[in-house]
Amino acid sequence: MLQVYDLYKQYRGVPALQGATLAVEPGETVVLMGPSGCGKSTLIRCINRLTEPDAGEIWFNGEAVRAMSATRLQEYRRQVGFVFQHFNLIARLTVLQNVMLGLVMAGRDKEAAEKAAYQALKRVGIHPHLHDRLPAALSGGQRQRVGIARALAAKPSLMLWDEPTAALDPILVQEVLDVMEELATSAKAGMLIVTHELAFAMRVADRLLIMDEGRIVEEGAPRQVFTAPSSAVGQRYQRLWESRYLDVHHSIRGRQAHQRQQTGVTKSVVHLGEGVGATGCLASQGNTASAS
Amino acid sequence: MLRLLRAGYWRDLLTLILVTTLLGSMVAGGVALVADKYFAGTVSGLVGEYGEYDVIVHVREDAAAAVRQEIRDLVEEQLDGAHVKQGITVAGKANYFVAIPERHKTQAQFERLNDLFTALSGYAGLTFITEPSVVVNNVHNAVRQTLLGELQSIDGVRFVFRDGANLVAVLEDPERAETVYQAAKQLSEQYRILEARFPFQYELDDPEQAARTVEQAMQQVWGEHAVRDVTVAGSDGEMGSFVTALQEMKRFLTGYASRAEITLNTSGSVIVNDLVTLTAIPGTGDAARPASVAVRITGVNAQKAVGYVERGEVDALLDTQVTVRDATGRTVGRGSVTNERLELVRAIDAGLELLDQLSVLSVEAGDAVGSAEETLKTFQAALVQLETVQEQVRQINEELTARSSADPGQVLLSVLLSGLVKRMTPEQDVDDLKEIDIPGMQAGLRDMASRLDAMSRIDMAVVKQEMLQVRDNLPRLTDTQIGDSLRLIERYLAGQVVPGDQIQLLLNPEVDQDQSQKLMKSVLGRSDISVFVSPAAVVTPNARATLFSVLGEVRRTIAGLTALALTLLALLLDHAVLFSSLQLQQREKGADNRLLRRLRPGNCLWAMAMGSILLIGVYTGSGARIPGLAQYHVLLLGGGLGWLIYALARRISPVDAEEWVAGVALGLNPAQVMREIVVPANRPGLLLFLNRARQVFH
Ligand SMILES: Nc1ncnc2c1ncn2[C@@H]1O[C@H](COP(=O)(O)OP(=O)(O)OP(=O)(O)O)[C@@H](O)[C@H]1O
Ligand SMILES: [Mg+2]
Repeated sequence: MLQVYDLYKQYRGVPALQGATLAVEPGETVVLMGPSGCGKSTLIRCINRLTEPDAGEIWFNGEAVRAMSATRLQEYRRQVGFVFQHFNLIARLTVLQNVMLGLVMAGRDKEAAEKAAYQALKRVGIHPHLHDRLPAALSGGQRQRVGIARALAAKPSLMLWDEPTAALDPILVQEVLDVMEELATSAKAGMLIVTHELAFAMRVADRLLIMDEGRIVEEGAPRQVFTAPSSAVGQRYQRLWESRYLDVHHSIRGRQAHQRQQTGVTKSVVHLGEGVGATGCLASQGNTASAS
Repeated sequence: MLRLLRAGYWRDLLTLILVTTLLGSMVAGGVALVADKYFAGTVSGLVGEYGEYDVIVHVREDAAAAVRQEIRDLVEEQLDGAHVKQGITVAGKANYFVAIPERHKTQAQFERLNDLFTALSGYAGLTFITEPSVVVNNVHNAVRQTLLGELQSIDGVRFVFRDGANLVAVLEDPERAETVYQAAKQLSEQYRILEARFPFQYELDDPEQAARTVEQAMQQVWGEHAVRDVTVAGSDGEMGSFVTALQEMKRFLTGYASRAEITLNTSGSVIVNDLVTLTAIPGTGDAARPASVAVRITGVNAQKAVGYVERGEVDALLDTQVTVRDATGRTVGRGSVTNERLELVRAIDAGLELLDQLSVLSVEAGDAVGSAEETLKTFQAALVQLETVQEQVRQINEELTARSSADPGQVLLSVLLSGLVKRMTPEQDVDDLKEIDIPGMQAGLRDMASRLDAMSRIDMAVVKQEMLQVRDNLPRLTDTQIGDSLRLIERYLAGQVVPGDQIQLLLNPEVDQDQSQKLMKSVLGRSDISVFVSPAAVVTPNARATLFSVLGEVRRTIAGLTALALTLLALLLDHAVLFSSLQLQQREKGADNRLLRRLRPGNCLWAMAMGSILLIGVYTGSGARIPGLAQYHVLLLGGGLGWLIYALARRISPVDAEEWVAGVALGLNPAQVMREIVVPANRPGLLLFLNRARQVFH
């Protein structure tokens, strides 16, 4: 569905992308990880041309995205939902209006738009009594869920997530991750998720990509990447994974402990820790999916 | 920018520009108009509408009440149809505005007005404010008549009249004012006056001769007609007379003051204008009172100095030697004091005495003449008797000679007698005596007698009376008073040009200004004088026309400034957010893209163009004109404003990048992003207001 070939981008001579290549198949959930500043946001923004790449190709359903006309680009963007790290809600519009905005601007009549918005909001668990609030009157988690609903409302075939939980209070992270996980497993849309949530990635990702210095350096099933990395960065992730989720002593720490309590990841972690194999990973996935 | 426009935002922008320009023009024009109305209202309240009145008659404030009716009567009688309005009272003068009816608007009538209004009580002159007109000020006497004729022949001039040293050209039509003004200016600039002044103490001996010399010298260079001596024509009558009178007074007073003649011990120890003290030398004169006077030195020549007594009484110092001390008390010489005034009194006294003696003398002389006449008669008689005796002696002698031989005694007697006759009456003497014009002498004596008689009949008492009167009526001024007066006069005269102590030459255009000045100085051989060239007439834009044109200018300037302010406001409130969005768009896309980099100056140019368009639109629309600003200046200024706001746009109207990006990611086109996201979040302005109509989410 989406193919990105050899994408290059530099900011004032400083390279951000240096030949990034990836693909997302319909319904597939791809998680993109990488150290800060490695070019993840740049890459994901290039996909719907919020940022213009310098070179490379982007194909969407066989169409060259970079060659699209302005109007075609708009249509394309409606098919590609984008969830921002900082939610990027329109401050002056209500929750409902925020979700309706894209639909109405696309020419949908208001009633249909409102209906779709209702559904999207319902899906992310935003209660109708919040619909007329302004974003400022919502909690961070609620805001990001509105952000997700907004991306979702147009029923996109591809969703791009740029660290959707990174700006959230740790307590609120899980409510968003839950929504994401539900979408990733049930929605037909292909997903490209940039996140630092290792456990989430392990559970949700069909494929895990690790990026370093503007290119993809690891690609594979999450378990495979975390156990047998081929790059230096991959190995760092492996160590991180092991220290957090395999070492019992380390795992008693605050945030992780809290997460485990809340989500029941503990079980899969323990399971992983015992088995370290494809089965463990699959079991984890199944576990989480059934839990949601 | 292009993408934004292509996305349909050009409609929003076009509406904005049109509405801004229209509204801006209206507001700027309106503000200016209000200001103009206010100023013009104030002005016309003071001096009437343009061309409404022709002349202001000034009257002393205290007479204003009486004049109110007087002026109406006068106008009704002499300027039938004229309209009078009392204006405000300024500086002790009441002002009456008089509108002269069209048929009375002639040169003769206008020139007559001053004489006409002189009849008003408390009349204090008039000021012409007739419009439309062009005024030529300070027209030199020598060219006044010529210029009047020339002005009259300018197209558009109805007539020209004299107002003191000014010429006022009354025009047919206010539209012609500018062209007539230019023509009048050109005419007046033809005439220039070359002038040399010889102020007090630098006088010329014979200014007329000097003027002629200079005139001729210049005529040799520039031709017969290029230069004309107009010194006399230029002198200002009344003032000149006054200065002359003062000059004479000074001369008289100086002669009348007590004068001192001083012999200096060393030459140069005093100079002109020094004040020295003269004291009686002890031992000479009245030693008991060592009187002293202050003397102002008026002339110094080697060791001789002269001056007049400025303070103190000189009586005690007259006819004696005095010591002279300078201001520091040092003795600088000796001198004597004379006083013409006292000497005159003395002379008169002597005359009176002579008169008394004369009357006595005339009587005595009459007597003497009488006795002389008597003597003459006696002499005549004696002369006749002498002739008789002579004859008798001669006869005796002849008889004796005839009888000569007879008696020797007879012979002797005869000899004796003939000798006697010879001695007594020699032939010649008798003839001389005979030749004395006795009757002539008698006539002379008689004439003299009659004169003496007439003289004795003169009423000597009356003559004496007259002389006494003269003596008593001599100004009784003390030296101090004279000195004070002299100083006062001198202070007044200092720097004053005494008539005749200036030379004025009328120059034609062909005469070179600098050269003529140099020539004049060299001909006069004086470098201590100032020589200058001034126009023989100055055309000033008529004060009221100027006032009204200034008001117009003020209005246009206010409009211009308002236009500037409004443009700035529009840029700040409406366009800054647009500029800010354009910049954001660039940043979001990644500033490094070459193509976009090339577009960046495009955005800036857009901002500058926007500033220019708005400013020129509002500026022109409101009829603004700022002096010194040409149309392209305004364009540049607008461009500058646009650039400034563009440069500051991010700070003036920051656009929320996250909202922007969200909109783009949702598939909104730039126009939609502007309408739904950016503009509604912006500060209130015309754009926000206009945007309401297009905005979907409220
Ligand atoms: N608009 C921009 N202008 C200039 N440099 C930029 C811009 N956006 C990103 N960069 C630079 O490009 C590089 C890649 O940035 P990017 O945001 O894609 O990294 P990231 O992997 O998303 O990092 P993080 O995990 O911190 O979000 C970084 O060095 C960053 O500083
Ligand atoms: Mg990022």
